[in-house]
Amino acid sequence: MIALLKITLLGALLLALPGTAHTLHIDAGKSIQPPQFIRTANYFLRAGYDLRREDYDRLASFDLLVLPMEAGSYNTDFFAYARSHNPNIIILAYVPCRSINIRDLDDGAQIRKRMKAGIHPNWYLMDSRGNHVSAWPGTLPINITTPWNEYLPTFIHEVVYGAGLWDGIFYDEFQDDMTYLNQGDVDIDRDGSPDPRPLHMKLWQEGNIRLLQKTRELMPNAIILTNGSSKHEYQVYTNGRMFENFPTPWEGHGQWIDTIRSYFRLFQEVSSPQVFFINGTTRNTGNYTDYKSMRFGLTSTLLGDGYFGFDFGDTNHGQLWQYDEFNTTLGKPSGTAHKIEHQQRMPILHTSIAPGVWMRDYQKGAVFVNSTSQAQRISLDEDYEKLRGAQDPVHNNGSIVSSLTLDSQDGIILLRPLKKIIGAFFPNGSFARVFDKYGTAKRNGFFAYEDRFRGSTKLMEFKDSDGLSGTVQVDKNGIRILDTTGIEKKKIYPFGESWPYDINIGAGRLTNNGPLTLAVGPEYPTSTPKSFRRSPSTLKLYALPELALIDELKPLGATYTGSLRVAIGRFSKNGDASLVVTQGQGSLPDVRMYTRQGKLIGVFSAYNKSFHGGISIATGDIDGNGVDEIITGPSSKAPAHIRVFDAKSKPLSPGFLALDIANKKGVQVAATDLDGDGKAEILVMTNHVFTAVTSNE
Amino acid sequence: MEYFKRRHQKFYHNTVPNRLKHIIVDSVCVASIAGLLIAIASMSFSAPKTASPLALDISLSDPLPKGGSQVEFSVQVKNTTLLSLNNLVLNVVLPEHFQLEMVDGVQATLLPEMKLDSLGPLASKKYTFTGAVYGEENSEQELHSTVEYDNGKEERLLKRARKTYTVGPSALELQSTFPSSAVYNQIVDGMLRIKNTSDRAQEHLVLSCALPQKTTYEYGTGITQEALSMDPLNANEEKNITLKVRFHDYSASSGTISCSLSRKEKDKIIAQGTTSTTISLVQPTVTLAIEKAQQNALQSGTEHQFSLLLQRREAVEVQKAGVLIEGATPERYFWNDTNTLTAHTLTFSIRIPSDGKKDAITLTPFAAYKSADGTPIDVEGKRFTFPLTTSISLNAFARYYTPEGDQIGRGPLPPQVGETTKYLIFVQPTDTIHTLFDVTVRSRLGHNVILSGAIPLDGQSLTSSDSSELVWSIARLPASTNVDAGGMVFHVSLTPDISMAGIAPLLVESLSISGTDEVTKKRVEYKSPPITTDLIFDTRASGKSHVEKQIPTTFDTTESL
Repeated sequence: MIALLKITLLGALLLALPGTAHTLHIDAGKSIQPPQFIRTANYFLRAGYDLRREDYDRLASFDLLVLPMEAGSYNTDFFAYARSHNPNIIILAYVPCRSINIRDLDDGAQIRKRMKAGIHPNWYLMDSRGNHVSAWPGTLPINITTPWNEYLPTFIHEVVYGAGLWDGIFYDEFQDDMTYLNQGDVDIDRDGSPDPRPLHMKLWQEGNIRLLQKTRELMPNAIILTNGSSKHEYQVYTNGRMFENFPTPWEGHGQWIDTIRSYFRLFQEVSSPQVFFINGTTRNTGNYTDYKSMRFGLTSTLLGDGYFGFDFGDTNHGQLWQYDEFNTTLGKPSGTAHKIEHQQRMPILHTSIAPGVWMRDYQKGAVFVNSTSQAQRISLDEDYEKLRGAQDPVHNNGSIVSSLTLDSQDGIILLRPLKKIIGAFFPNGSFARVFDKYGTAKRNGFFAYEDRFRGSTKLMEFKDSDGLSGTVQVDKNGIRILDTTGIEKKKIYPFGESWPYDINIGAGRLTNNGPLTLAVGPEYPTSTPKSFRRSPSTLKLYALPELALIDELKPLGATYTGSLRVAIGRFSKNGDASLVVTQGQGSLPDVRMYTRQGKLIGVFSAYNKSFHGGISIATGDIDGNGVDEIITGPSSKAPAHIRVFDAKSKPLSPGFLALDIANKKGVQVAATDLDGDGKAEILVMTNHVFTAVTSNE
Repeated sequence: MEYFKRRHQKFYHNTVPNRLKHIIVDSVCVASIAGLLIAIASMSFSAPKTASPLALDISLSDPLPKGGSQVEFSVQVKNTTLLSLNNLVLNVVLPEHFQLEMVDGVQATLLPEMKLDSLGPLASKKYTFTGAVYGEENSEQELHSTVEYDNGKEERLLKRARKTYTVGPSALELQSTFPSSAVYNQIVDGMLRIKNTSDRAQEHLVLSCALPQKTTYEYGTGITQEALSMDPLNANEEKNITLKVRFHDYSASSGTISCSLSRKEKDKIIAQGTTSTTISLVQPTVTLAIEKAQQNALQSGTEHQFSLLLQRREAVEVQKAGVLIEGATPERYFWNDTNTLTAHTLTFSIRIPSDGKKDAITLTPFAAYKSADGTPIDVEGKRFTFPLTTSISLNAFARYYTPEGDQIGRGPLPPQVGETTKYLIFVQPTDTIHTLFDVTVRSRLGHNVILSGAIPLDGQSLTSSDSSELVWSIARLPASTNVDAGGMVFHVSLTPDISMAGIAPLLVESLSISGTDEVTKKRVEYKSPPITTDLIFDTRASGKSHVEKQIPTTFDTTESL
């Protein structure tokens, strides 16, 4: 008791400090990665045959899962699968904290049977006549004020959490009282009469606290969530809660404001890491195309740091619905949520949380929520790009806006328009179109340019994990490295100062921990006589930042005197990179792959052998599997037919047209992760901007 | 009485009994005397009511005169009474399509006054009108005449007469003879036969031929212009006139030549013959083209090599070929060596004059060959013009979206009062055949429009930008009609005020380019039309050009709980 008192006093002291995250149990075993949003969740109460193998992929794509505890027995392989595909996934065991499901006790998992075997008959919730109180069909409510509040955490710790598959526990049915059951005839003190409400609540809440205390004591590193009470006294033992059926009907008055107030408040009161799950639903209608409700819940969640999921409703949690917004990468939040009043942002601390238009900035965009009962027109302080959505293309039409009208009880996610290319070479002033691996235009195209450099010069801005950043410029016959202020740090002439032709260049790391490397080859105009060419054509490798020459290769042999175009790609997760080489205009459309030492690995044709217009080549991990793909595009004399191949030269699709078919000027391709979602986007760039904007519509 | 007695005496004495004789004689005498008295009385009372004292007749020398032929009308007035008729006035109205030439043998082009004054008893007067008949074949013409006279009772009376006739076929015949088919660009030989079928000379003749579009008269033809004045044709004389044409319209499958031979008198067509011939057109067996050997510019004082390409659709022998040269020397090249002419390509060189006076040279190829049936055919190829001084123009437009739908503009569309809309302006020099140096592009933006960014494209730089004018400099602009040669791309921002509501305002008020031709050193310039918010190339922005008044905003972030 004294210890409890001390802890309680200490907790009270900590609670008194404003703005503090109160943590009795810090450094939980599951560390949440630096927050990257959007974070999705799924309240998926299916296991066994209902958790199908073919759904593993989709289920593993969520950032937070709540699964029945039986899944640890029936679907053991899912856990390894999910963690291998999504290392940061949080998987919590669903545990009803004040009832036991007595249907199918003899199921294969036998968990509930074993649990029931340890329940004393006196622990069940009875009415004043000694009868079991009924709540959900097929369940027996249990009196949390009984030793159940220790038995349950102990059982869960030993039987469920102890299997080592789970990141924590999700206590459902976590309520402040049971007086709503059985028309108030609930006798928790077993004195044969219905409890007066104050007494009932006091005893029940003490039982809740004991449950949480015991849970935290036995599983100090577990993530503990409840569904759901926002009572202050519980929070310190938990890492968060779920708000079911957002806005949760039983939270305050059931309004948006009530859930959001609790959401913001509890974030400050729970233990770290904070995990909050806002569960939007169709209110048991099954209308999964109610995109507005989904958006309202999602954008409200993004006003804080929570996770969001959308499903059927409280009678059926177990869908794998995906929404266009879920694939959006917003990056880290740039601050806290703000309410917009009179077109001004009002910091949250200076205004009470009230219905209105709320917004929050993120690294790559912003979210807006209209919680009022009227549509609202919002003037934005900068241009934003709407998402490109297939589900609600009217709302998510990909346009770039500086103002918008938001419906009542609706929200929107906006991105900042792309303006720069980082991590890949591009011709200065070129127009870049952005595609995903399927050839779908992923973002609005844009002119990629840096004012301080002349048009058409090749540029690459780089920021790597070593802390190195700057710009590489191919300046006529030489290559320059400039720092972030534009000061030239180094310049080299790979083919001599008198080199009159163009230079091809690619960039990447040759080894996992090696330096950023440039691969450089000559580019001869088609009309260049052989006598003018340097024999043989040489590929040169230079390491940043000093541009030290690390190797010279003759990939096409000692007699080849043509152009060499090159990209550096990693085609295995642990191995060294490979060099991917093509020739210039006038040659066959062959793609050659070499080891870093210049040994030929393989050759394949990217296009029909009759095409001799030359190929632009790039590599990048466009599907986020840790292995690069090869991207090709015709560099002249053909429509912009883009193709994607894996390392074994297998085409991943028939390819796609990046520009109007009448545009046969050729393109340059690149691949880099522009939006930070862990997957490289395919960039198709053209310097022939006049052809690009005058081709047939 | 005695007269009657004597006259009837024989009768009287020979046949009639004496007693009766007396009675008969007496009766006859009495009747005769009465008749005479009656006659005298009727003469005293001769009135128009019943018969005209004048006879008026019109005669025509040829009732079916040919159009253009000469005819003679006669109008005769005769006094049929024993009394003199005074104050007679004769009127003659000649036919509408009758060209008067003589009156009573005296040249006259206008009718004289024909005042008869008086006409004695039983006297007559005749007038003769000679002239040329014209008008449409089978048309009816009429001559009519009137004569006024006094009836002795202080009354003027009128006698009328008319004569009609039908115009016969034209006295001028025109026939044409052309081949039924011809080859494009081939010289087509035709013959026109003109004939005067009348018995009098036809003068003031004009021969004209209407040719189809893209058809020309050729040298050596009898007709060198559309209308040719001809020498008179004597009666029944005929002549042949050559007509050479060349058809240039490759899109036409036939060509019709319509000719007319007209006799004109004071803008009236007195006679006309017409003919029309339709000739089928076929592609020539041998087509001609000219190519320049090298891509270098045509500079003054330099020599350049060209090729004459002879393309044969069938195996025919080209007998001669050549090139007419304007603006350079020599003036003509000619090959007639059959061995040489078996080649597909004939090369030749020309020299551009050093004086720099010419702006272009023109090369016109020609050739002659025989068709399969031995018909000689002349063909001429398309004229090739090589400018010596470059032209220049600007391809300038604004966009809000790319053709693929990428949004490159910003802000509301259509533009709204008080809100800023950004457009992207594309300006590209085009139509240059020579490199230009020292190129300057000047632009003045519209009202309430500012420059909001320029995208660096190769080779150009924005050298000046203020509120009034943007100036780009391009040191060297390569020659190219390719749409990607050079150019500027820049953002402009339009913030309309209320006065612009309902209109499509100017984004770029004026745009011009000037530069110096590197070859001829001549300065060339071009002014482009202004650019408005009506984005004619941007279909996605179609119909969104006019400024709207700002959509009213409702903003209420508070509501009671």
